Amino acid sequence: MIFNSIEYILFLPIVFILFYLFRHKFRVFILLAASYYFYISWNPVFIILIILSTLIDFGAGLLLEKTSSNSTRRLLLGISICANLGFLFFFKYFNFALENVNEAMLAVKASYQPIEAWDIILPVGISFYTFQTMSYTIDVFNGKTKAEKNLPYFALYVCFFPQLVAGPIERYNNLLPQFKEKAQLIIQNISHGGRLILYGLFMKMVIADNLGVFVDAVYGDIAGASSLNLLIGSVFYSFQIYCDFHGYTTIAIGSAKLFNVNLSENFRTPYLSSSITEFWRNWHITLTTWFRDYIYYPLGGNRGTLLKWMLAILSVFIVSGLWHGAKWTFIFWGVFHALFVLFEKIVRWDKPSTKVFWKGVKWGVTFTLVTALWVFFRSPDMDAAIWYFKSVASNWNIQGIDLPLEPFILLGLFIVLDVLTRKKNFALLLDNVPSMARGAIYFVLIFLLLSRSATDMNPFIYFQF
Amino acid sequence: MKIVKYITTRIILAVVFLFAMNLIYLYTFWKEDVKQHGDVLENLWGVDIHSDAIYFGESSNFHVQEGDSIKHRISYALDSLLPSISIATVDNAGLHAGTYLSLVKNIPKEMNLKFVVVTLNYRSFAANWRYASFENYLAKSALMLEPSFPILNKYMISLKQYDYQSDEDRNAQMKLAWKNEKFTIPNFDYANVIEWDSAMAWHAWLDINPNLTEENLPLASHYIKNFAFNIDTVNNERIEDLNTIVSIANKRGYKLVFNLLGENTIEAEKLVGKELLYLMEKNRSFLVNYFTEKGVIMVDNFYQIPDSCFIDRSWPTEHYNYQGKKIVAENIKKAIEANELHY
Repeated sequence: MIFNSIEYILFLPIVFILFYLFRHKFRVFILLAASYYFYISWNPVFIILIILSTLIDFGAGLLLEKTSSNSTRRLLLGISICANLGFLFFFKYFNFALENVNEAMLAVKASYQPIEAWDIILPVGISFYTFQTMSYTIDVFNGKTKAEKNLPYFALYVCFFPQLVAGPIERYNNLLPQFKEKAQLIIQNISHGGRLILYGLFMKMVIADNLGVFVDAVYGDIAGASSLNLLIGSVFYSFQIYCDFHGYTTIAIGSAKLFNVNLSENFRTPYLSSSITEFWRNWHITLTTWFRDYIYYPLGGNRGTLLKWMLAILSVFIVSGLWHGAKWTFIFWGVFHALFVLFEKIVRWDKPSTKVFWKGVKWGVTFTLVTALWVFFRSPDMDAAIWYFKSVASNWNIQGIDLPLEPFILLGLFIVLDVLTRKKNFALLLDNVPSMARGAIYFVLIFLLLSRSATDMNPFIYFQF
Repeated sequence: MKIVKYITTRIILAVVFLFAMNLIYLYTFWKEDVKQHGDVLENLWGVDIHSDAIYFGESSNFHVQEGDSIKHRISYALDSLLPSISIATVDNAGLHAGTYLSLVKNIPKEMNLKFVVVTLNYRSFAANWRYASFENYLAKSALMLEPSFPILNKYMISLKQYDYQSDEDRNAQMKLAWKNEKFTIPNFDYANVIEWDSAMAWHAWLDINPNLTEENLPLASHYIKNFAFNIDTVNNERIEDLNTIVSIANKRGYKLVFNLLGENTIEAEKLVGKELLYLMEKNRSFLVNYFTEKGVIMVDNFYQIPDSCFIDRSWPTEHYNYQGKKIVAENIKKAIEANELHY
């Protein structure tokens, strides 16, 4: 089940009604059943993975708290991390590793018989819930949180349906206490939740999917696309991926709000950033902070030598690239981001400018770099990415692909909304708008959603991660 | 109570919004969207409201042979043969009972039609067509054409609330149907398309049938895939769609004419054998009897088109040269006259 489906439009109100019909002590079971159903509706088999992951981390948490021996505690943490990363490795990276082993062996020995890739389906959301459960065990190990003793609540923490398949990646201390609090039926939550769901659907179905039509056409015919097409295609992709993912998280936050649960913000107008460092503070925030807390800080952060710090930054971004997918294009994407972050830190580019001109220059450079690097992200392989860049430089005399005006108008509207929601999210922003104007905004957004949603619907991009 | 009031007012407001949005949509994007996702409805819009009849057809109506001196449609020939009545045409490639149903639903109520001709293509009942990838587009068109709130139809298309399936899925279903949809032919070893086609593919038939060569073997295989089936009145969606067309026509008082197209039975028998002809005849007589009993005027062109009139020689189609088209038009004319529909 995906958010932009008729099934979800029916599912959410049913769960909402059931949730508030029952007393507090039963609500955890309603949300748990709903969450499992939500996941099973995609593929029933892989629910076993979630349940296994839940049991392993729940058990590990309890044992960690009971054990005082350091070596045993390390062993328990190791088991939990190995199990989680083991699942992740097998489903996500096994074939990638195999492919690289084959290539390496062939380079050494020409007669080597390559091992065939396995037919492995990537379970939706595995990277998200694995990171979420791992953070819990690590936090218990570090004494930052107490072990959860109630299995249904813990299971719900692992699989809460709004954020199960594409985040935000929540920490135990933020999410679980909210489940335990008795939820009241509050009008403001319903209205805020509804607004966020509407805005999220608008971002996904009206903006991202419409831009995606042109992006797919450009990436599908790089040779036939003009340089201008390719440039516009890459800018469109920047907004496609943003609206796609931001749209998903906004629907997730809105859906959770209906159950009195506040999920973490994942985006803060990242394309208004004036440096790559700032971009990463505003893009996929819950993943960035996860990497900061569980990789960057343990590797020493900025407290060690310059080399150690550089290695820490590089490690974080390589892992970030790999987290997104088992392909060299993602690794390169991560490495380039790391190099730019290091460069900015060294030349102090990320220091805020007071002059408008320099602010503008920095913003322009940052947006251009981020957009250029998305080419690696979007391309199926390195050759395609390089070909894309070469074609930008060489296809000036080609007539190219026709581009309708509509995506530009829709994108312009979105940019205005995105700038307006810089400090307050869409729901909060509307609180200060007079009711007539609010009605007009709803009207326009719903009208655009119903009439201008793309018909060639694409699945959420981040589902593949 | 406050919550109930809050939700109720929002629902009422939403309904009001919906009506207003639908109206705006009709005046702004609708026509462009129909052109893009349901262009066949555009043809229906182009129909003269004063026409006495509508001819619904697929590519057999407009496909022409290169070098044909007359390039008229079947419907045009029919219109010429019946000067006392005006016949409008609505056609598009690949249309079948499902799309005709959507079109019939959309016939303007103010039209005073004497009769409606619906083309019946034998092959459209086969798995080969029922599970063709083109079905996505036709299913999308059918939803776009639904006579409800156009703005909701558009959103339902965005949510893929039509029979959308990937090419791989449709292929898999087609193969499953070829395997599971059985037929019985007396004194014949093969009971489904896969078995029959495999035997053909393994060249077993090359030695038996003197008309078969390495070159025309693929065509023989196409004949099996397109013509070897048994119409199942329960599971074949075409029958259900045609039945609905019949009931709509009865309700609205249209006289219904089903124009069963002619097939190249000579080529079918030559390449595959009398067993295939046996199945084709069984299905033909079923369609004729079944719909005649329901009060439909059946125009049976099945064996009426000579081999020389078929244009395509490497794929079984119902594309005729003008001589073939004229035969169909004359048969329809005769049926109309026999049923005194021409007034």
